[in-house]
This record gives sequence, structure tokens and C-alpha cells, in this order.
Amino acid sequence: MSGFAFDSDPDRVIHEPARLKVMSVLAVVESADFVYLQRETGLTGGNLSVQLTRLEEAGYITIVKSFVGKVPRTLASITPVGSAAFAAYRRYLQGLLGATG
Amino acid sequence: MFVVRDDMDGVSGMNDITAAQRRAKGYWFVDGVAEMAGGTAILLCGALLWAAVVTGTEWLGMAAIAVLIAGFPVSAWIVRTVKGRITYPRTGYVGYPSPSRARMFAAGAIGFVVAGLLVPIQVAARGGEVSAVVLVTGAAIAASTALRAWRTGAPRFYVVAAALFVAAGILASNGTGIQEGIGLTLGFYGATLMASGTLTLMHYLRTNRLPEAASR
Repeated sequence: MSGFAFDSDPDRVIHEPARLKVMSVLAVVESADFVYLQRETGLTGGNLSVQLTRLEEAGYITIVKSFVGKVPRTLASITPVGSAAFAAYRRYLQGLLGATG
Repeated sequence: MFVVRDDMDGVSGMNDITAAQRRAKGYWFVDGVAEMAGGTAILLCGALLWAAVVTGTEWLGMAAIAVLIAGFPVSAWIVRTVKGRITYPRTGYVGYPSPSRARMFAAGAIGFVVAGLLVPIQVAARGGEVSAVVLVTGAAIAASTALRAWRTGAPRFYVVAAALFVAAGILASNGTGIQEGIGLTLGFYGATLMASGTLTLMHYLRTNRLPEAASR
């Protein structure tokens, strides 16, 4: 018996592929800006904004908007809650893999 | 710095995630600017050490130590400034957490142990034709460079590490004096980093044009 609860669900906020990619990047850095995240995810600006807002509403990331000179910069960072949720999500997937071979 | 774990690769799409994490961790080196700045400081340090021996000018050796101490904060400032103009507008900004105290302590301890090992190694090798200190110094720097290659997924650092190890071996087997040998080793390492960084920057600028609409 693996002990994996097959009736449990993954974190739906993180489970969506675009948000998972954003969380994966933010989990290993202190912060990343909109330009970098857009290049990494391949999303349109509008779609990325929606995904970032969803993660921010869940308390998983913080978004800080500022200016570098005259250029606006949107900076995203993972929160402790987000780090814990991402770690739990990884454990869920590892458990699923272990249980299904 | 985080260690990239590959234990999720079995899940569909996890290869992409692992690759994305590796790219984010290695993004500091994406443009070669950090190598060029660090390489310049190391080259200058090595050149001063070497010149101190060749010219018999003691203060040049002290100047090399001053460059070693002051060079890295200065080059870090230069790198941040250059990245702000070249890299961040093109491919975005990534910030990294400051190294933890435990990590800094571990790095210092390793450096201290390696430095401490040099004396008995040289004593044991006395009379031989191989300068053990030069060889060990080159090998230690090459190992740390190879570790950087593994962590950041930038294979060019493996090439730099291999070239440095070979160069240190040649210098050591030629019986080069300790200070002169270390100076030449550092000089070679700095020059190799500068060359690697320059090529990387040229490739980066060729493949990443500045967006017309500079909205970030």
C-alpha cells in the first residue's frame, strides 16, 4: 500500500499548466518580472495577467508594480503560503507517481 | 542557491518545468556580462601577482589582494548597471535571494580548508618538479567552475574549467614558482572568462533584439 489517497485532488490553482510554470520559476528565484515570465510561459500579456492575478488572489504570489526610469515594471514573488502550496503540490505528484508506478 | 531536482521528470510536462527552473537559476549568466566583469577582475589580480614577481615590486602583490577584495563588489555593481540597460529590457529581470549565512559560512570554510591544505601539500612536494600549490589552486578553481556549469546548465563553464585545469597542469609541471604560477593561473582563468563572456554577449545580442515597445 502506498498510502496515496486517490480521491484527493491536486491544488487546482497550481495545477493549471501556465500557473504551474509561473510557480515553478518563482519557487527558485526571489522575483521575476512580467517580461521574463511572459517569455518563459509563452503566454500573451493578457493571459499572463489573468494567471498572475489568480495566483495573487490565492495568496501564492505578491505583485509589485514600479517604474525603472520611465518604464513600468511588474515584479512577481512567491509568498511563504505559495512556497508551502507548491511543495505540497510536488508531494502530491510524487505520491501519485509512487502509487501508480 | 537551490538545487534543481529531477525527480519529477516522470510526470508529463515536468521536463519543461525542470528546464524552466534551470533557466531561471542560470539567467544571471545568460548574457555573459557577469563573466566579463568577473573575468576582468580576476585577470587584473593575476596580472598584478605575476608582475610583482617578475619586477620584484612587492606592493603589486598587495594591490592584487586589494583588487581581489574590492574587485567583486565593484564588478557586481557594474554587472547590475549593464544588465539594467542591456538584459532586462530584452529578456526580463530575475532577482535572486542573497546567500544564506550557512551557505556563506560553508563557502568560507571550504576556502579556508583548501588554503590550509596548500602548505602541507607544497612541503610534501618539495624537491619535486611539479608545483603542487599551482596545480591544486587551478584544480580547485576548475572544480568550482564545473560546479557552476552543473548548477546553471551552462555547458560553456565546463570548457572553461577544463581549459583552466590543463593550463594549471602545464604551469605546475614547468616548475613555475608559487606566486608567479598562481598569478598566471588566475590570469588565464580571467582571460578565458572574458572570452567566454564576450562570445556569449555577442550571441545574446544577436538573438535578443530590443523590443520596440519598451513596456515591461
